[in-house]
Amino acid sequence: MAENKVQKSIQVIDIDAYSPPLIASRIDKVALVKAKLSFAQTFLLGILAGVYIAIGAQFATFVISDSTLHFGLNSLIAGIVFSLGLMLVVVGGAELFTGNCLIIMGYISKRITTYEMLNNWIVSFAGNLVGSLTMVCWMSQTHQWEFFHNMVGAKALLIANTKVNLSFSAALARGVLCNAMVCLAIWLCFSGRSVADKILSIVFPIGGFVASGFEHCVANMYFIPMGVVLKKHPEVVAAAEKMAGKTLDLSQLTWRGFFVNNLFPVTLGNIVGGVILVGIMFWFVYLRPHLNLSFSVKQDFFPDKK
Amino acid sequence: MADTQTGSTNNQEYAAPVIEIDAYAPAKMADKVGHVGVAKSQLGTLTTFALSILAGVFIALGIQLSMLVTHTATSNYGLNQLVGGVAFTLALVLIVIAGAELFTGNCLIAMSFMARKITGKDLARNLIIAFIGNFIGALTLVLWIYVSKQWTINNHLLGAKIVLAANDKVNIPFGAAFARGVLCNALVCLGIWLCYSARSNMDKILALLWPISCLIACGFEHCVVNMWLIPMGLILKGNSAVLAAAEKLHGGKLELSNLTLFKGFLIDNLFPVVLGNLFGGIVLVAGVYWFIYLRPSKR
Repeated sequence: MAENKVQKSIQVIDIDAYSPPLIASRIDKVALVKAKLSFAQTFLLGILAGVYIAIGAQFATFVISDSTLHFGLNSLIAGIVFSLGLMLVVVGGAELFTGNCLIIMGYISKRITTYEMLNNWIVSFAGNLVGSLTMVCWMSQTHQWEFFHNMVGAKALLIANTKVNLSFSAALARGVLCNAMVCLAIWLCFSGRSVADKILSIVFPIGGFVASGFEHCVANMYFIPMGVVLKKHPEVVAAAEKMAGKTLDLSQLTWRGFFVNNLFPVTLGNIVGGVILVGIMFWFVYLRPHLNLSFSVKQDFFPDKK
Repeated sequence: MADTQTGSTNNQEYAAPVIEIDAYAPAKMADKVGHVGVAKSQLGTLTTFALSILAGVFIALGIQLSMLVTHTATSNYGLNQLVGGVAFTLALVLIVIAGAELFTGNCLIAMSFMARKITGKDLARNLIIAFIGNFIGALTLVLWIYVSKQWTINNHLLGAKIVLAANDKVNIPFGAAFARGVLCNALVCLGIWLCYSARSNMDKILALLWPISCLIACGFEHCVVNMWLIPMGLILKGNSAVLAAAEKLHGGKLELSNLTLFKGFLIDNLFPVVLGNLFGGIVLVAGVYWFIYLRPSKR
C-alpha cells in the first residue's frame, strides 16, 4: 500500500519515442493538417521537396563519380549522402509526393475526403516535378558537371541512361520497394521526438533504398532530365564512354524515354508501395475501428485510471 | 512528409502531464527565426562585430582542416571531396553552438524583416557588420596560419593544394560562380534552418552534417570560405617551393595569371559569389519559408 502512495506522488513525464499505435494516430492527424493547407502552400512546399531531393541526388552523383571503391560500398556511400534530401524534407518541412502516400491512412479513417487526398497528391507531384526541373536548370548553370575532367557529368549520364533502359516490370517492382522504404523512413520519423532521432532513422532506410538501386519517382525527376541535358555535351558523352569502357546507346535517353519508360511505371510502383504496403497495412494493424488500442495503452500504463 | 502541426503533439490517451519536448515543427521554426532576427538586430555594434570576427575565424578553421585532409589524395575524387566536406562541418558546428555572427547564415534573419519585426536598416546593418567582421576574421587566420608554417608540411603539398584550389576559384565564369553561390547559401541557410528545429546539441550537429558537407563536397562557393582560401593562395603563390609542389600536383605548367587580389579575388570571385549567397539565402530560403508560414493570411 505504501508503495502505491509513493507511485502516485511521482509525476509521470513521458518522453519516450512514440509507440507504433501512437505513430499511426499521429499520421492520421497529420493527414488532416496536410489536407487543410492552401493550394499555394502545398504547391510551394512541393517545389521545395523537389529541390531538396534533387540536392540529395546531385550530392550522391558527385560523391561516387570516379570512385575506384568496389560497387557495393560505393552504392552505400551514395545512399547515405542521398539521405540529405529526405532530412531536409522531414525536418525542414516540404510536401514530398512519395512520403505523402501515407496520408491514405487519414482517408481510410474518413478524416479527409477523396478530393482532398487526390488534391494533395497531384499538387505535390506537380510541385516536385517543377522543383526538380528547376534544380536541373540551376545545376547545368553551375557547370559542376565539368569537375574532374567531366567525370561528374559522365556519372550523371550513366545513371540516367541505366534508368531509362529498365523494363516496365523491373521499374514497377523497384518503385514498389523504393516507396515502401521511403514511407517506412517517414513512419520511423513519426516515432522520433528530436531531430537526431529523425535523422538517424532516415539514414538507414533511405541509404538502403538508394544503395539497392530502387527507383524513386521524384529523384528520377532530377537524374533523368539531367542526363538528357548532359547528352548534348559531346565531351561529357566521351567521358561517359571512357568510364563505361564501351560505346553507349543513348537513344532511349529522351524526354519520351523519361516519361514513358521510367516515370510512369515508377510512379505506379511508388503508389502501390507507399499506399498499400505501408499505409493500408499499418492502418489495418493499428487503426481498424473495432480494435481499441488506445484503451489498452491507457490500461497498461495507468492501471489506476480505468 | 513533414510534421506540419503547429501546436503540441500531445495525445489525449496519456493522462500524464504534457511537457513538450518534440523537435519544433516548421511553422514554429519560422516563428523562432523571426524572434532571433529581433535579438540579433538589438545586439550592440561592437558585440556584433566581435562575434563576426569569431565567425570568420571559425570558417577559416573549418576550411583549412578540409584542405589538410584532402590535399594528397590521388584517386576517388568524389569520396575525397566528401571527406573534405565532413571535416568542414566543424566550422558551422562552432558557429551555431558556440555562437557567432556569420554573414551567410544571417541571411536567414531576412525572415524577420519580411515579417516586419525589424527594419531594412537593421537587417542591412547586421549583414554589413557581419561581412566586414568575417572578412577581418578570415584574414587574421590567413596571417596566423601563414606564420604557423603549416603549409610546408608534406613537402609543401598542403600549400600546393591551397594554391590550386584558390586558382580554380578565381577562374570560374560569372554565371557559374553566381549559380554556385546561390546553391551554397541555400544549403547553409537550410542547415541553420534545420538547427531551429533542434533542441539538443546532438540534434544540431547531425542536422548540420549533411547540408554543410554537401556544399563543400560539391564545390559550391561560400564567400567567407573564399575570404580565407583565396588570400591564402595569393600569399603562397609567392613561395617558389609551394609553386614547384603545385606544378607537380597539377601535372604540368600552371597558369596563375588570374590569381590576383583585385581582379581575380574581388571582381571575378567575391562579387558574384556574394550576390549569389545573398540571393540564395534571402530569397530562396528566408523568402520562401516566410511566404509559406509567416505571410499574413488573407482570410
